[in-house]
Amino acid sequence: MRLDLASVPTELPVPSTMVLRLDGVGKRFDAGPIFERVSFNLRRREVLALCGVSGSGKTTLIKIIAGLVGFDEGRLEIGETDVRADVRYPNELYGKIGVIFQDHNLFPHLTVLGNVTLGLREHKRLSVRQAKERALFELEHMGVASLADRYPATLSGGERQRVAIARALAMDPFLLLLDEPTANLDPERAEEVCERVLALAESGVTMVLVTHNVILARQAASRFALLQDGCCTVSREPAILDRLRYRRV
Amino acid sequence: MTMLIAAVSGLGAAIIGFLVLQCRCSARGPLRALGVGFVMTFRNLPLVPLLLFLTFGLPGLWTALSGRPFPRGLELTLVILGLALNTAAYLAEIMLAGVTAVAPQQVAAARSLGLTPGAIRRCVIYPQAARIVAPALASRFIHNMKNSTVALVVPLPVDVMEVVGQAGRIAGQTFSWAEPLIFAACVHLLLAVCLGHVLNRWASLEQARIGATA
Amino acid sequence: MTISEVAAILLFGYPLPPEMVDPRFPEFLQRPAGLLLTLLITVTSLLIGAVLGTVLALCRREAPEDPHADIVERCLDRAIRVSAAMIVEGVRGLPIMLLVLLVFHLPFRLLGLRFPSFLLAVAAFSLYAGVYFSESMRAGLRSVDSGMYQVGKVLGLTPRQILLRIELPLIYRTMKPDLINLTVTVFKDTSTLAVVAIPEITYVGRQLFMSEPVNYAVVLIIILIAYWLPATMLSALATRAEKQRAGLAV
Repeated sequence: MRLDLASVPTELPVPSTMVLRLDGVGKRFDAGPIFERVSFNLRRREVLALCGVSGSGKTTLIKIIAGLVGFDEGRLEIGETDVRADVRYPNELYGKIGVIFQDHNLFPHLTVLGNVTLGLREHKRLSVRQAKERALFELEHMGVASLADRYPATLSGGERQRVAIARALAMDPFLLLLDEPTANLDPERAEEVCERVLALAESGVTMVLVTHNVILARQAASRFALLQDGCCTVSREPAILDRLRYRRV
Repeated sequence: MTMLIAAVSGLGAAIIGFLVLQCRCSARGPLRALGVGFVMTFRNLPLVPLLLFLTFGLPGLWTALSGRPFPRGLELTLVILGLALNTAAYLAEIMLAGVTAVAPQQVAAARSLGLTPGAIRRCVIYPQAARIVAPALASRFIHNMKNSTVALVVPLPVDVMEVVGQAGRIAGQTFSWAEPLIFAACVHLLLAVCLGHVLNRWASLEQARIGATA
Repeated sequence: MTISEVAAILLFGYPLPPEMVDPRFPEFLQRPAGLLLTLLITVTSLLIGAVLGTVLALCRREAPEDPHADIVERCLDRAIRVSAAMIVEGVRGLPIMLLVLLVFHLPFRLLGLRFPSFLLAVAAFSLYAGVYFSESMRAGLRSVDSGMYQVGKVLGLTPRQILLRIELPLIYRTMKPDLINLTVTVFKDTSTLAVVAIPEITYVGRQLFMSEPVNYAVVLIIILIAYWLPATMLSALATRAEKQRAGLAV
């Protein structure tokens, strides 16, 4: 039985509807603006698929939401916390938002179980036993519990990503950010991960899913955003993804 | 005087190191063992007892074994020899690493061009090996210069004493160690930094010109 | 004197007069001198040097880009980094002999403070070891993938937790050969303490020569062997650790 995120208490008051709200967010690098005036909302149990060509700034946007990178204009509302461009990212948000990166997710010096329990023990201060229980629970759900004592180097790409998702979920985040989880995987492994992502979407996890995989996007998401040429267009219709233009190299 | 000691011992070390390298690469077993033994010995012997042995112990052994008195006035030479032996061991290791790092295809290509083994070594392997390990070699030479201060433990005639030894002599007369020491420290720092810059600049220029071997 | 007597003195120092011996402890531990003192100084200096080196390495780390840091924080950060860099480069550029002499003479000459010579010896070598330790750690920290830090942050770990739980365990393997080589270097270089009358093995050897009718050559050969054996064994360990490190990089 999937834990309903709605019933899990977190220190941050779980918002009634709005989980994430971007308002005119813009980011500039030395070479020029990456994107400007990005705005969208995300409600509870919604899945937003964010698509765009490489270099359009999708990963940067994810990092901005997660607090790993600053931004230059606009404002964010995460949960009920305001994040402004000129102020430091609020410390209490770390550990509440789950992030799955494209690769190099797992710590190579820890076992799978060690990876998942690290955050639980250090940040949430769970006891070793409690952390282990929680970790095994999530690993079970991702179908990788049998790998608990293996090291990441011995796992396939698909297994690693599933462990990464389990690790993120074990922290009970109210928002999950996935940055191209299937990008570096061959089709078979990618399939495993897609299944899991779909299952998560169906069970009501609030997600921002950045992906190239338009099919996955259509299946999993309820709203769609296209980041192209520095602007972001949002819609409930998957048809917007057809506007994705691959730049001629 | 520091510079003289450093330069001569450095040169000596380079020569000895090169010879040892030849030993280690040689096809003959005993020579190889000699090379390995040399490196193993002199890398792991500390400088102070080594220099003491060369300047005090050796004359004792010499007279005990051969009955003839040991020639006097050789202290400086022995000190330089000691430094050279120590540094040579490290240099031999570095040079070995450089030689093995040269891609074997280079040797094959040179062979196919008809070069003799000696010529291959001279024109293909050594130049490239030298450029690969140039930074490590440079740092060892600087370390050699710093090691020259160990000559302090050997009573040398005043005119051949190196910087710190002179500082000690002055301190003996003025009863204050502070000023001469600080001066000596600045000299060494300056030398080390300058030499470091110069050698690094030269090394990177060389590498840029040739392109470091991948 | 027989060779075994000579060796005993070189390894453990001169025997204490009976009235100074505390019957509760074994006799040879109470007169640390000779090789015993060398080992004591080496180990203590390495331990303190490790701590010092870690601090220096952390000081020299570039702070992650933080557009919200105000000017005071930035100046402080810059000041810490520059002073740490000056300490490291300053000590690295000095020969060990000079460092030892400076540490032994400056506190008294400049400040009028006297310290027990053991402390000064340990201080000198702790500085020496710490500086090289910090260089090794800096290289190691730079080699850690920046993604690791980000994953740690996202999991809610504080920077200190990230350092202790993620970065240090990751660089332990890369730092091992450098650390073993550092141990060998410190061990050998303690012989320079002979010029400041610390009764470690080289100095005891000289005392022996000046007070007893022994062949100095034999004494020195014993001293050389006493250094050579541990150094060679440790070097063998270092070579093995280097191979392990090269295996990692593949």
